[in-house]
Amino acid sequence: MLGLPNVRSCDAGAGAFRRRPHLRVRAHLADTLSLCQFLAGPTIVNIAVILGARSNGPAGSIAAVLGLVLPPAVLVTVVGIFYESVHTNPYVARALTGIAAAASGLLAATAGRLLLVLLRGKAKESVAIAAAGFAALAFARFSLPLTLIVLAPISVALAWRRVR
Amino acid sequence: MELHEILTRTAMLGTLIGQLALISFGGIITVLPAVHHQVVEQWHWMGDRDFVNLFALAQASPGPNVLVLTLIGYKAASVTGATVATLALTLPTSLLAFAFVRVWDRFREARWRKAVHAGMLPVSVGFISASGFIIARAADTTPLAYAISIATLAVAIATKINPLWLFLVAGVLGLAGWL
Repeated sequence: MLGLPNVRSCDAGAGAFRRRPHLRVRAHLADTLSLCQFLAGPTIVNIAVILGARSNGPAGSIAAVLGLVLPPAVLVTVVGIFYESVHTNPYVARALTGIAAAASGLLAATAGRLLLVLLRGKAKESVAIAAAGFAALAFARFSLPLTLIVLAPISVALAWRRVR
Repeated sequence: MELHEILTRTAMLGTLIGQLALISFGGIITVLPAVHHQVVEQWHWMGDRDFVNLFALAQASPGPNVLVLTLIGYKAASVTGATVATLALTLPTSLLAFAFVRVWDRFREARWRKAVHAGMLPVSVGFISASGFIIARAADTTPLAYAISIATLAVAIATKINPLWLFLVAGVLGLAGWL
């Protein structure tokens, strides 16, 4: 049931686990956050898989993912059913215009925070890589697989020279 | 919608999400521009307005924000679409993550592991920024909507306020007809 509190990011999700010390996962947390950045897929779901696996094996993973995803997925489907029946109502449409503007601001804030991390870091070429990824998808409209296949090896090769 | 249409759309969306999830390094939000491109621009299942509304509803609802894909699934192909979208989103990558834990433990100190980790971060930051751009372009149709986005961005970076308050204020401003 950890999914139902407003879990909005990798950090917030980790916080939800951190507040429950009986899950005996604290020691793994920093490492798990690092691992979840490495994996494809929904970050918070991957955290659940890994923390579940480390505490109770495969059954732990299944329970963690079901608990995280199932209740909110049912809830969000109900929201979707409701949306279909009211979205043409002018009042609802107007309120949603405001909420969508706020939601886009929040997403921009997530991007902004990550950009600040890159700007404060030592590796200035990271900023150029991020800018190239942004321009390729937002302006040039290159496909995601193509952009990834070109950009990821360049970025990893550049990173290879600075890690040891 | 006819059953045949629902099943066709469900198969198309499930395949799209399943494939994109496998390359969503840095989180599902990195593939949102690609989902938008397919469901809005190529398949014309919904307009920009619906897409951003569903994105906003997923953010404002309790639970992981990635469930925006569940909502897109519902909009495209009813409960069948929502179910298959959610499964395509979570199942394949969960299996991979489970399998990967051991690899991770074994190569934790390896140089290639650190290089991939450090190298993928700026790539995903660029993709998340592109998501933000595409959502903002679709959501901000009036100057005041832009102002709300920028104000939310500033408040969210400067404070630790619960975003639900921001949604509430923005929703009331919209309802008042100022947008």
